[in-house]
Amino acid sequence: MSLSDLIGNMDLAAYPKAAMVIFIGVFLLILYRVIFKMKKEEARDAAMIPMMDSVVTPNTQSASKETVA
Amino acid sequence: MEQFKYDDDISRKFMAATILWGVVGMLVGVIIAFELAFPKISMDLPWLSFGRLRPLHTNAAIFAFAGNGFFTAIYYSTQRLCKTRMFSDKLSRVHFWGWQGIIVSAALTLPLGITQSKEYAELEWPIDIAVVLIWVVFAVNFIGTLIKRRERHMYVALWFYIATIVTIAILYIFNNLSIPASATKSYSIYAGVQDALMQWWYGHNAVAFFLTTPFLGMMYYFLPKAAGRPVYSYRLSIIHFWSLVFIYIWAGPHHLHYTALPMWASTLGMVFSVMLWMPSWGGMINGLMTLRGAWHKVAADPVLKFFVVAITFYGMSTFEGPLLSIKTVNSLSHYTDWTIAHVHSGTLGWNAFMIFGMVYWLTPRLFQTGKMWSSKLTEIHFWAGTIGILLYVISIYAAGLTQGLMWRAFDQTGNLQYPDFVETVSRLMPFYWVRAVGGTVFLVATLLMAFNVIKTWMMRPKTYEEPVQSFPALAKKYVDPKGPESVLETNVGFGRRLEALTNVVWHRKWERLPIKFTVWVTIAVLIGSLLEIIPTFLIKSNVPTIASVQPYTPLELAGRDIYIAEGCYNCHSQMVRPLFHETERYGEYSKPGEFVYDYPFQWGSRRIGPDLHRVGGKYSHDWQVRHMENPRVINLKSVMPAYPWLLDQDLDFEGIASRVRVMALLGVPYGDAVSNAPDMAREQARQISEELIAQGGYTDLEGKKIIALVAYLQRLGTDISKPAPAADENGGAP
Ligand code: HEC
Repeated sequence: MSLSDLIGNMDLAAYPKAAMVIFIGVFLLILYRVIFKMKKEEARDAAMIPMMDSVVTPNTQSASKETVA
Repeated sequence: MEQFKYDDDISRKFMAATILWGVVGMLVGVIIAFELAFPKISMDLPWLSFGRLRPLHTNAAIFAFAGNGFFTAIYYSTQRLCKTRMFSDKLSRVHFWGWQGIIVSAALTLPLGITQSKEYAELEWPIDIAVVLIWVVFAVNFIGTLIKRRERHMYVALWFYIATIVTIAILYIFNNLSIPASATKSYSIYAGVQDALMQWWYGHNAVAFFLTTPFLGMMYYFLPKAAGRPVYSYRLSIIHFWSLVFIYIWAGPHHLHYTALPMWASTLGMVFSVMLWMPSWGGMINGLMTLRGAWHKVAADPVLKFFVVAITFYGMSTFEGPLLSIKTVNSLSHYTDWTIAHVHSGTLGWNAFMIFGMVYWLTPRLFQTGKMWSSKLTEIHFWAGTIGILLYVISIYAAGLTQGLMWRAFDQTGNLQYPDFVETVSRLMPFYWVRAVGGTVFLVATLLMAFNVIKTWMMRPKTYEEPVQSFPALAKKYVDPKGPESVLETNVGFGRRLEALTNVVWHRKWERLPIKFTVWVTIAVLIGSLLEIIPTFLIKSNVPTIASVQPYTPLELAGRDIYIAEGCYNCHSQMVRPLFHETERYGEYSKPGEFVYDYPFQWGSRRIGPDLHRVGGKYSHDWQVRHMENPRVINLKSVMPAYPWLLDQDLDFEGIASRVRVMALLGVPYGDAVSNAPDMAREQARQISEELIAQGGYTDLEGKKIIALVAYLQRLGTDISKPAPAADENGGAP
């Protein structure tokens, strides 16, 4: 019995079903983490990262052009 | 505190390349749009003909314009999100120049007809190897930057970049596996149904991971910067990311509904495509809501205008995509211009407008001028660009619907209402004109941007300031901020673990561990891919063999390679779907077993011309030759290019030998033909040429390319109606 016989004899619908279960399981865990286990401050701090990407050393150069007001 | 400078020079380079290649890619697009409206303008020049230029247009738009566009974004934003300079300036430069070299070699080889004929994977094997090497350089540089970052949390834009880098590498390598027959010619290791599945697994995910994820990363960085406020919901962005990565990878087979692909695979593709609605709209809402309370800024700031239109188009085309994947809708839309309209609302509306918005935001900053040379011109670009898209998209939607409805129309007597395909072509002309105008407007608008950027560049300071940044390095050892207090009384090992799992500490951890994160993204992508691909390869019953289907003769194989080189697949499908109007028009529907020797498959994806799978034997050799020499001699309203050079150029009979050898290597039962392919080809060419003369046709074509092409066309789809060969003939070429 070869590998292709083995897989060929399996119920094909099992693949998408298994995939759906895996996908939904992991997805629910992530949803759970994001909704219940992520502190407000944590999300806020992360979201602020792009807004605070330039701290120019005072005595080296004039202010960077890219600090957003 | 550590001090360092951002490398903005590399962003300037990529941005310049983006604009340059954007103009080139759009220009080629406009040229081929005019060719469909006025076929004569190709002047019968081989390298200007539609089939050769269309791949140049798609490759330039995707890899040169969009690619350089998101590289600009990645180099600019990654450094800032990681608060560090890129890992290696040298690697950054190798990536830049290597990528431009690849684009130039694509621009040279595609018009010469050097192609693998797999859509958006046309480049031949030496260029493929270069692509992989440069991609590795990019990946090392990027991951290296993540590792030396000074910001603990990896911002969500970086996740999208990681997904791009990993997935594109996997897709590109597996879809392009091939065996070279010469420096400029290779054969895919997959054939027929399996090749089709691989190709659209690649093709669809190229859209997902080359045109979507990096642009979402761009959105999550540049939109908050331009709006001056953080993204609406960081939580939503996490959900957006994972659901997109999980689901997208499954959607590919929706490109192959009603084809010879097994039913279960295409249903799977459809279900996952419909599920894509969720993350796509989540992302769109997150983008648009970022502007809450800042809408007054949108009216004043062209950058935000570009972003808003782009995100809206993202929402619209990701609404339409799932719609098109539903089988009944697909039976109408597939092979028509509807798909082309869909794609352009994505590329012009979403990708190009995101890039334009970014360019207008970056230019004053990268060139340190404080503002654009002309804000009026920016405003004009925005409106002209929008009008260009609308002209393009609306006319081509109308064309697609018209086409689809005409193909399936029956009259009162139960016969096809438009049996002559060319009727459905000439009906589209007005739409094609409007499209060509729309495309031109969009191109001119882009040229305005190029001009504006150059003018701004000329206002730059003599030397760029390079502000020194100071940020503290990350502590070597990271102590997790106290997690939730344990509710367990006793400290059981298993209980602790379960608690950690349900508290989802793991995800928070990945978010700061680049390598682990990358590994998980890879696993998510691989699961989706393997569960879909493995069954197609391993289940024999998916591709029932048909005894009468035999390999192409050496001459037919040479003809097939001409078909590939001329890019006939850009206008012709070879896949009759089991739909009544198709079997009425073309004949018996196509079976999976008919394609087992098709390395690579030639099912095509649109029908500017009729399906050719059953064209074998439909016309005389003489008809075929005259039609190829000038289609308008036979069909005044045809938009097919003329191919007079095929009647002039000599066929390289000796060169066929190495091609047959590679085919044999791939498992095609060529038997004796492996050792005497050129002679067999010469003999068949002599026969066809004699038949041609007997039909009153040309007398001097025996050694020309056209004979090989005719041999191939006359063979197409005929095996199925032949008797199965006797047992002793098995294994030999017919
Ligand atoms: C720009 C799109 C385009 C390209 C590229 C193109 N064709 Fe066509 N082809 C058409 C159109 C439109 C028709 C229908 C009108 C006609 O018969 O000329 C057609 C018709 C045909 C027919 C007649 C089919 C029938 O059943 O009547 C054949 C055969 C054919 N093409 C072969 C080719 C080959 C071979 C190539 C590549 C060398 C090619 N075509 C490239 C558009 C194209």
